[in-house]
Amino acid sequence: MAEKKHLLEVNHLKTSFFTDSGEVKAVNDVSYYVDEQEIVAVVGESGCGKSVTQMSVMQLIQSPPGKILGGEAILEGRDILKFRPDSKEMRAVRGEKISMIFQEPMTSLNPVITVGKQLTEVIRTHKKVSKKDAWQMGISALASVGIPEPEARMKNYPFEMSGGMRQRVMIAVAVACNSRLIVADEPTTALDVTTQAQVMELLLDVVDKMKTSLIVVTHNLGLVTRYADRIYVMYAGRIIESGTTEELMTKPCHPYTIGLLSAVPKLDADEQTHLTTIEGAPPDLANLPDACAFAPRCPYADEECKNSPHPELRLTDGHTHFSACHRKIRREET
Amino acid sequence: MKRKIKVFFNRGILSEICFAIVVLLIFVAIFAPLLAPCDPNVNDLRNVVKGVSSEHLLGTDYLGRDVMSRILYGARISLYTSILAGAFSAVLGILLGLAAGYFGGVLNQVIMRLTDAILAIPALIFTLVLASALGGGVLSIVISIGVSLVPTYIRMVNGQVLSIKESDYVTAGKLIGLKNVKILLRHLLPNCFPSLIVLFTMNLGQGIMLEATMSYLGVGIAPPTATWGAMVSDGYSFLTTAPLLSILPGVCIILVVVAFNVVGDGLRDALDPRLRGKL
Amino acid sequence: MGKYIIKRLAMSILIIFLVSVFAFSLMHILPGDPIRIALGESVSEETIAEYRAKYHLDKPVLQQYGLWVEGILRGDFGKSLLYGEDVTTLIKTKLPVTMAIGIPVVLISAFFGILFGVVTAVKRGTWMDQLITTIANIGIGVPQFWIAILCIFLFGLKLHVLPIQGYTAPSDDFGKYVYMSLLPVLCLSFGFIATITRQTRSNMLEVINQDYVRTARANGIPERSVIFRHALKNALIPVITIIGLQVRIIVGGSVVIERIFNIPGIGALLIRAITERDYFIIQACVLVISLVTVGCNFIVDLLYGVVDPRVRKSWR
Repeated sequence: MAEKKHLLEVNHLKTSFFTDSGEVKAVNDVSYYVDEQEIVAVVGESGCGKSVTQMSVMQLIQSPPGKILGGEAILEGRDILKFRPDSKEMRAVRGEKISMIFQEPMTSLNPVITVGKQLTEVIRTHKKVSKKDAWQMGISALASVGIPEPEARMKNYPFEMSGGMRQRVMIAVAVACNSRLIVADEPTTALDVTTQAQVMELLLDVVDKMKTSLIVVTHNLGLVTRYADRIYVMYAGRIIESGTTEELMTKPCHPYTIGLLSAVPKLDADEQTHLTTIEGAPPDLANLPDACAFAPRCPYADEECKNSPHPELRLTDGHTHFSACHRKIRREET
Repeated sequence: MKRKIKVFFNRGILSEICFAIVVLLIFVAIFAPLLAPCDPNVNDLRNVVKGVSSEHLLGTDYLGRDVMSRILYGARISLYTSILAGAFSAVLGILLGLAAGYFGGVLNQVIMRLTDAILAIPALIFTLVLASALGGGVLSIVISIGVSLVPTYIRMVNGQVLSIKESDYVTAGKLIGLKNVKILLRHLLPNCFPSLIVLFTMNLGQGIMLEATMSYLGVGIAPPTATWGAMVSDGYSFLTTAPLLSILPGVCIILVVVAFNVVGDGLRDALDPRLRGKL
Repeated sequence: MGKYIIKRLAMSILIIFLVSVFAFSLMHILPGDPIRIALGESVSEETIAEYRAKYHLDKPVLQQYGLWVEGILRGDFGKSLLYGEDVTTLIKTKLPVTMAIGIPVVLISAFFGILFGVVTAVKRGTWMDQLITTIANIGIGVPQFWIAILCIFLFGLKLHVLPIQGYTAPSDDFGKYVYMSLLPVLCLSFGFIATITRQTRSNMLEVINQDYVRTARANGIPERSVIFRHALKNALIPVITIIGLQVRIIVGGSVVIERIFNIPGIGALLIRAITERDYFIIQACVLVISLVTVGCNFIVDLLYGVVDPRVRKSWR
């Protein structure tokens, strides 16, 4: 059966940062894909490389000290990593084909330029429209993300808006340019809980209405289990487990994923239960061992885990559930 | 402390060179009489504007005086004037800044407006007119350079005090009944030290520049005392025949001023890198 | 916003007043008779008494000050102690000359300083950055008189390309004005280009790493727009402060440059007056120069509001 073409297919991406302490392998052979109208989550702790992966695909890595060392990212049949970072083709991808939303809404917008001007600038970069038309498009984009009084808001400066509203503006950019894929990098981390829920709902609404795909990058597994179709779990620059949400929730294989799931506090748990934690500290990406990066913290690690090379992603069950673990742990075993 | 020293020297070869220049300057200034081959003020009208020779390593000037010795003694003047002026401005500036910041209100307004007024007059002009009005000797020059540098201290200390004044440990101090002066000295002042040290170093460079310019214009330290500025001025008529007479003392000025600036930068990075944008 | 402007204006007037008190008191700091000090020992008692009366020095100090200020408000800065020239006329003729040199210096320094600052920030680490930054770091320590002498030596005496003395007003002969002012303007600009380059570079480096720059890039904005529209606009805010501060030093520096290049401006006038203790000229010059500085600071404050909307908001 011929494979359906993915919207975005990333293969064997490698990105490193060359620092005074040595080469930091932030993205160490990562492959994933997103299909049309799919919601995919990339989950992992701080420093695991999930953000750097997305930034690499968009060629937003500062070089020096970072460098994309290899891999391809196929979008609409072309490898966008082959484009030069500041070329017209790459810029056509950014903002128009793939829209990125960042974590800190408070600082992600230019403080000395009005919201309207920033919106219209992006619109006119990607579409040949007049200033007036772009302005109108901006207004309707703001309206579609639920911002009240959009005409007035266009003339506001970012500091005159709340964090939640600024995040909506970022989403409005994606709406205005009709992107095929929205990448949301920790979109709610810097917001308070109520706003978090609103922004996520808005995001999902937009994705639904515009029929775009969505990649949500987050450390908060609980955030995505309700919405994501598939989940990739990353650790120390590698994907260590991937599969449908249902597979990962019900039959997680990798000890790290199991640990993540157990760590989510449960409302109905006994008051006295301790919060489960994953022992140990995140690895030093400048000094990664060849063996499994999680082994030092893994409760199931054996000699093979500590000495043989890092396990490959292997199909564990079904067609879509992959895990990178020597031990093949089942959750039932725990 | 050790770490701070390490940071200071780790900034690269330039920092180290400039630190060496400053040390060299201090050394030369102190030991000039021992290092100089001749008396800098002795005229020798038979050997006017002679080039490099074994007797006069850098030649002679228009009165036959040994250039090398004059440069060495000039280092003295530059360093002494700027240190004296610097110390004067630091003491006065810190006191006024502390008073303005701590007591606030009318006193603050008065002091800050006076500061603005001094800053409204370009430093060189202010120093020139004040020195001349005070009579024009070494003391006048030191005082006028000092006064022109005072605003830098006032503004900095005032700013620091204002921001620290409302902080908890000062309130705690007041609550347990510490006298104002004690709070000022024990708590507020030590917080300002890093900035003050950096400022003092930068001002040394500034002071040397001001003194040199005044000497160049002929309103600085009176001849025949050897000062770098005066040497540049003296050598002007001989630009075509002996350009080094003017160029060399200028190079010394540049080296020393830049060195103080770089050392100041280094101190700032070592003591408090957060100041990077402000000093 | 009107309230803010009025407040600033009032502050500026207060400062000018304080400066005037300072300028006026210069004459009276030293013990002894200012007339005698100025005119010298060999002048007769009668002449001294005559001058004292003429210049109101027999009246109480406060009244002298009042008379002086009153004169200024009428547009009369008094007369030179030594030559009897009308000071107002002197200032009227010489101030434009200083401006004719000073304004190009400000414009050229700002333009090249910002340009070099942006280039070195964007091309950080390359040979261009290292070269320009090194020159800039040294440049802040270069005395104006020295660079002037060096340029005179190189361009005037060795290469015979540019004149080393004199001045022609732009209204008389613009071409000649440029030709004659080229060297003084370049010499005076050197140090300021260095300072502004350093400051712009440091601000740009900070701004380039800000999130909103990353957002602009992520949205596909062309790099040139990112740098000049998004980054520079933010980086310029502190640079405006620096340029404002530089005006003060530029005016100070013009004293030296005018002297070296024999340009008949206010700086040269002031130096002459200082060496000759011509107090009325000194007073007037100090006051006028401060007016220029205070005026520029006022403009800089207003410029802030233009560039930074957050400042505009705080004014209301």
